Formats: sequence, structure tokens, C-alpha cells
Amino acid sequence: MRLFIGLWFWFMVYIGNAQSTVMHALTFTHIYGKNTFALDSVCYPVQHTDSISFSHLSYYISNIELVYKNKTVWKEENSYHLIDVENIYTQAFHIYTPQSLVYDHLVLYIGIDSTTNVSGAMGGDLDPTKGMYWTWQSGFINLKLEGQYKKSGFKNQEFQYHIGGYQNEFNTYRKISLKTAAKKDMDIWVDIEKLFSNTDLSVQHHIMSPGKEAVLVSEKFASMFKLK
Amino acid sequence: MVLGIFIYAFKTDFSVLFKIPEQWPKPIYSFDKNPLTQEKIALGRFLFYDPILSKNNTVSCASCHSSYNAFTHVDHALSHGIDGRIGTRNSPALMNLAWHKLYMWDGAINHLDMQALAPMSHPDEMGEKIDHVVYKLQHTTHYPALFYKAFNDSIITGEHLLKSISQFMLTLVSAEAKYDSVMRGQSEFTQQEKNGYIIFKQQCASCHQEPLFSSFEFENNGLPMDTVLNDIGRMKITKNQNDSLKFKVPTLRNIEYTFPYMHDGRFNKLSAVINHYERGIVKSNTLSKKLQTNMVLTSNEKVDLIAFLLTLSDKKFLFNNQYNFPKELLPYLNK
Ligand code: HEC
Ligand code: HEC
Repeated sequence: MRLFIGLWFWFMVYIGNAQSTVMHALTFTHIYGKNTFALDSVCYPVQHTDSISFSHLSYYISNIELVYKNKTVWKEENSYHLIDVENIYTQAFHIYTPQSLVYDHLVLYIGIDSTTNVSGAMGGDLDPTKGMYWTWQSGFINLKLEGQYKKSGFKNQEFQYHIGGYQNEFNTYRKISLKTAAKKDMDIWVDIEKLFSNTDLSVQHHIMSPGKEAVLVSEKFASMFKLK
Repeated sequence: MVLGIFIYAFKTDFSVLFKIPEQWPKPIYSFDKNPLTQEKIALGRFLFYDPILSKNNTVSCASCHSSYNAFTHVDHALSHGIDGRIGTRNSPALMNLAWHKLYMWDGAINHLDMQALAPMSHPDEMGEKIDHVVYKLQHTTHYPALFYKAFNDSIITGEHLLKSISQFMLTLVSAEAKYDSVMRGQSEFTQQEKNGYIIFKQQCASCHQEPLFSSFEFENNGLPMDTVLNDIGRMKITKNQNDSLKFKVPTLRNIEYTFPYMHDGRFNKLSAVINHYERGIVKSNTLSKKLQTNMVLTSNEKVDLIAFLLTLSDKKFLFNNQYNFPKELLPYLNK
């Protein structure tokens, strides 16, 4: 009998929850300055060198929160989302919040927090088969960007940015806080050009491990994200 | 549901699958995130011995970590991988891995689950990619069923692959050496071993801490740097000058079988190791404080010390039939 009451209770809670949640769509649209962002073909202007084109972009969005007057009013559980520009289905997802929640900021993080980094093998978007985990030294790659750049007089050159690192001064996990009206769906614009401000690609074309260089790039993450 | 919990609890009776030896500290590995089961351990053992984990299906974990040598690569100073490629470090013995804080000589790996990724992906070791290993396993006749038995899911994932390999490695516990039975009061040291134990406690135990015979910290024990390999050890990971030439203190359990010694396998004999501590120490900024004063040992004392080190040999561990090649795997190899 006690079991039955217990089950009934949870059932009611479940129903109750289901009725009072709001589904929000979070959509990530990638741009390069004033242009839309596309892989392969398109070349974009870039400082110091002639042009740049991309073959891969993926990154983690994690630990999504809604904040009101600097207080967290809602947190997504198990909040890890791998966004991969090659896969359109990863560029939008839903979050479910209680109804009539009041908030003024959407907070999210680029990358994976240090606790998760030391927690062993995990599944879903964190599965090591996703190509976002270093093999020879433990740690998630928070953002992976690859492509080619051109400088006149030279052949096309490859560049690879694998930005990660979770320890002390080499931490590249970054908080993004976006002011928002309490609306249902949120369109987030991600400007890749911002990553290349003050960068000379012909000097800095490979960042493949945690360190100072990766940290400098991660400091530009916050400026990439805007709520439309 | 209640029945389910009951069956689950029964299946994962922890104490049967993993015993913490008497008076040992608590393990560091968080078993709650990867609870041991018979099926997962068995799957992990298959994988550990299966060369399918390497690019050309020739090298398995056991190629470099052989059970009869406490899971090290016997006779090879530097490990040998696919196409006869030679690595840059000596493969460590694998045992009591649940108590390590970090893995690899330089601590590059922060969790046992993530360890297998390193050799699988290393071009000089197994030269594979985990997504391709998963693909290959999924297309065998037997692995989907084994994963189903272990994880209730025949779709193989990187997570399940890594967790099952961890499970097998976690069961490699060595705690049945003569030393252990002496500590439990079940047998006695000879006079020579007793003398050796006293010297050990004075000179060695600060780093090779009992009962695991390692502090699992990083220390510079005064080895001259090999100018070919130029291995800076822990500093490679932390990029901190203070960590230059520091390596993880290895366990001395089963040391009789795990030669050659040190991160680059430079010594073949225990006597050479002891001579290093006595008169080979190279002074440098990062040399451990524990080795700053000269160690003086008579030749008798050296013999005694070695006699003690041999009490750390655990034959039950070496010849445990739960650890060696699983015969059930034979029909599936090279298919
Ligand atoms: C080509 C030889 C080779 C193969 C194959 C190999 N290893 Fe290793 N293993 C090594 C070497 C060498 C090290 C030490 C590397 C270092 O410290 O940089 C090591 C280190 C380890 C460690 C860390 C031990 C410690 O004390 O920190 C574990 C655990 C391990 N290997 C498990 C495995 C597993 C599981 C596999 C199969 C997926 C495997 N190894 C395949 C050579 C190999
Ligand atoms: C300051 C800490 C420290 C002290 C004290 C110390 N060791 Fe070590 N020992 C280490 C470290 C670190 C290594 C690994 C070094 C390397 O490979 O670069 C090591 C390696 C060894 C090895 C090789 C193990 C293997 O599997 O390759 C043996 C054997 C050994 N020590 C024995 C001893 C003995 C015997 C003593 C006492 C006379 C002693 N150690 C004192 C830190 C220490």
C-alpha cells in the first residue's frame, strides 16, 4: 500500500511538472562579420593575411542557466550540447523551464567544466567518439576550428585551433551572459570573425594543446555570442 | 521495479568483484559512476586481449602489458607497437590502478576510463581512432551481444568501450605477496628481509609508500636525463619549470618481474637501481628533498634491501586465471 501511495505521489508530481513547463528553442546561427558562415567554399577577409576559409567548426555549450537580478532561477540538468556546423540538428535544441519564470539573463558556458573533465568516460555529446576529447592528455576540446588561410605569394596554408584546457591558469572554459527579455525562443548569433581579432594567422596557425595561446583565444569567446 | 533493484544489487555485489585489502586506503576511482559487474569485467578482459583495438589488428593492450609480467612489457626498455614502432617510454606494470591519482609517467591522463584512448590513438602504439574501433566492434559477430549483456545496449559507444576496459583493469589487484601475509601476521620475514625492511623504511618508503608502495606523487629521483629522449616528465603536462624531470613514483609491488626499470627502462637489475640511489643521483633544481643527503649502504645492506623487495612478489597475481588471455576469445580472433 505504501508503495502504491508513493507511486501515486510521483505520478502526480510528474503530471504537475509536465503541465507547467515551457519549451524554449535555442538556435545558434553562425556568421562571419556581416556574412553568413559556411564551411569549405567561401573565403572571408581576415587581418594580416588575405583570406580564410573553414572546413570544421564544433564547440560545446554547457551548464545553461537563467538568471534574475544576478541570482540563478533555473539550471538545466546534464547540460552539455555539442554544436557542430556540419550537422544542422545540433544547432538548435530545446530547454524546458517552469512556467512564469522571471529572468533577465541567459547564461551559458563555452566548453566543459573542470569537474566533468576529470569524471571519466561519459556518453551522449560527451562520448569520446565525438572527436572532442584529447587522447594523449586527458581533457575535452572546448572548441575546434579548422580551415585554410591565404597570404599572397604563398600556397594555401592549413590552420587548426583545438582550444581546450581545464586546469588553473590554462582553463579555457568561458562564461557567456546574455541580457534577454523573458521570451520563449532565443536566437543566438555566433560571430566567428571575433575569434580572429588581433590574430596573425601566418604566425598563429596551430593551437593543439592547453596553454597560454589557447587561453588567449578563449578570452574572445564571450564577444562572439549575441542574442538576436 | 523493486525486483529490478534487487536483481541489480545482487548482480553488482561489489565485495565479490572488488575487495579493498585489509588496512589499505580507500580507492580514488569512483566506482559509483561505473559499478563493476561480472559481464562488464568479462567484456573488458576480451577487449584488453583483442588486437581489434589497433589499426592493423596486430597489437592488443596485452602486447605491452602481459599478465605474466605484472602487465608490463618484458625485456623491452621502450614499448613496441604496430609495425614494430618503438615508443619513448617503458610500459608500466598495471596493478592496483583504482588507487592512482593520475596515470602515465607524467600524469597526462586524469582518469582510468580515459587511459585506453591514449594507446589506441598513438601512432607508435595501436594507431587507431576510437570511433573506428567502435565501428569495427559493431560489425563483429560477437561484440554487439557482449555489449548488450554488459550494458543492456547492443549499440556500442565510446563510453561503454572505455568503461568496460576500466572494469577489467580495476580488478587487477595485487595484495597477496609475502609482505602482505607478514603484515597480517600470517608469516614471518627472514632476518635478511627484516634488515632490508628497516633500510627500506629509512631510505625508500617516503616515496614508495606502503601499502601500495607508491605515494603516486611526481618526484625527481635524480636520474641523469637521457639526451636522446629528452624526456622532461611532468613538466610536459604542467609546463611548470618546477616539475622538470619529475615522474610518477612507480609501485614496487612485483618489482621482481617488471624489469627493465624506470620510465625509459634504463636499468635491467635491481642492483643497478640501488646503485643509482647510492651513487648515481644527479643534483638539479628539482631533485626531491628526500634524496638530498647521500645514501650510504654496505654491500650486505644492498643484498638485504633486495631480499625485502622480493617479498613484494605476488605469484597469485601473476598466475590468476581471471587475468590471463580469455580462451573464449580464440575462435573470434583474426576473423
Ligand atoms: C605499444 C605498447 C602499448 C600498448 C599497445 C598499450 N600500452 Fe599501456 N602503456 C604503454 C606505455 C609505454 C605506457 C606509459 C606511457 C607514458 O607514461 O607516457 C603505458 C601506460 C598505461 C597505463 C598507465 C599506468 C600507470 O601506472 O600510470 C595504463 C592503465 C595502460 N597503459 C593501459 C593500457 C590499455 C588499456 C591498453 C589497450 C587499450 C594499453 N595500455 C596498450 C604501452 C602500451
Ligand atoms: C624521492 C622519492 C624516491 C625515493 C626516496 C626513492 N624512489 Fe625509487 N623511484 C622514484 C621515482 C620518481 C621513480 C621513477 C623515476 C623514473 O622512472 O624517472 C622511482 C623508480 C624506482 C624503481 C623502478 C620501478 C619501475 O617499475 O621501473 C625502483 C626499483 C625503485 N625506485 C626503488 C627504490 C628504492 C629501493 C629506494 C630506496 C633505496 C627508492 N626507490 C627511493 C622515487 C623515489
